[in-house]
Amino acid sequence: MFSFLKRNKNIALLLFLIFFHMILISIQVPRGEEGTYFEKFIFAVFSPIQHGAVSVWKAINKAWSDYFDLREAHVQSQRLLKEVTQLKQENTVLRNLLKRYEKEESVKELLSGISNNLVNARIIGFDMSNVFKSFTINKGSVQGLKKNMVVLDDSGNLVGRIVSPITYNQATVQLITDSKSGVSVVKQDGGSLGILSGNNTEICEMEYILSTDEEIKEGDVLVTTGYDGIFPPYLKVGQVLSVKITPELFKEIKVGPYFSATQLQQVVVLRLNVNEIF
Amino acid sequence: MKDYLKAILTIIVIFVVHTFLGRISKEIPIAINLFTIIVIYFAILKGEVFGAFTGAVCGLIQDSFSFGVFGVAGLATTLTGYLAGTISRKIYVISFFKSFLFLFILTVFQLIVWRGMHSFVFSEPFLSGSKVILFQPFFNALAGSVFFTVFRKIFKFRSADSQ
Repeated sequence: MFSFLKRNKNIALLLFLIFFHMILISIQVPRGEEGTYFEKFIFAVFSPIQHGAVSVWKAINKAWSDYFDLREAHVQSQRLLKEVTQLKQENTVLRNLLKRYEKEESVKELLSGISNNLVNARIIGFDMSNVFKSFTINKGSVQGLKKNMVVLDDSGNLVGRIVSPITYNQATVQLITDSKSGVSVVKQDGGSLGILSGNNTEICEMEYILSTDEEIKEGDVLVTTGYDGIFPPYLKVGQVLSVKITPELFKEIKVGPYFSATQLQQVVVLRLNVNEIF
Repeated sequence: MKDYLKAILTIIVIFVVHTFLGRISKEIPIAINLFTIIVIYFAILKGEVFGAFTGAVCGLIQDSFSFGVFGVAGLATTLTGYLAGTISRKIYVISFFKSFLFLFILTVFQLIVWRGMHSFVFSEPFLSGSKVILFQPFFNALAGSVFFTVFRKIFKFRSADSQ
């Protein structure tokens, strides 16, 4: 065996590389979605390059558009856009939360807590294996981002959550369209509690709705319940596209999220977890 | 040492170009896998071991920017790099049409290994996700063979026929 490998050094090296990858894959099994130090190291090395590349790209784009646009109008519109995004977020979250809080004092306390904890972030890179799985944003641990923080689009609809790896100025977001994502959802007007999971396409599936459930129908709006302990309740998630009764125990329900993974440019991170909000 | 430095710099350039392409459209980096092209290029130029190592680095970079199991793309690209180096020593693959076919087959091979591993690890359907990936062998082959032809005009490729 060893004499064969000695004679065939190339094959020995290939076997070593295969073994190395097998080890990398295996050590992740007990770690779950928590990345290894090696993965975090590669991410930390290459994320500044990605950050720089996007900044250069933005600078070129900006120079090009400024050349044609009126500079002041452009800057102002950018500022207003950011402001609108921020206000939309605040508005959606607060409107949802106000339903739960009746005392004026607790509402005031909540108001200041939330407006200080919304972080605008720009998407700088999409998942290299599938755009519907995850993306990278230009905010990281410096801005206080941590694992499982909620990510929303500019209208306050649920996009996903922060996952590992997180560096000082970049973080990874797992989309709700990822096949490993699961969100506890319910119809906006109540009833039909289920789990929303992705299938690596732009359409999600609502699972565990019994075939005998008569309440859910096409066009229904789904919101988070908060039961999963990650996503706060009342966040809009998507709309039911189709409901199919199958011979099996559960219905086959397709759900269209409100955001489009291929169109997203900017998101907002809610820098609080469920326990801190409620 | 010089070769390794050259490979590292090329990978960084490819990573930047990949990011730029993603800014234009999110579907482009799925349709064209520049990392695979560059792994095959180095495998033809420097042999199977160099191809395998370049493949391992490129694959692991892709893995660290993907939400999945770290090492799956690394393994697929390593095997592709090794295979590309071994075949290119035996068959002339530099002409436009032959390199097109070569890249096409190797990209199909890589996708099968990568998707196969994904299906095995995550119990996902073999072809889940964006269907744009089905066009990857064609666009990789087209972009790669154009790239090889241009580089053949500028630099001399090492291959079985030239030895």
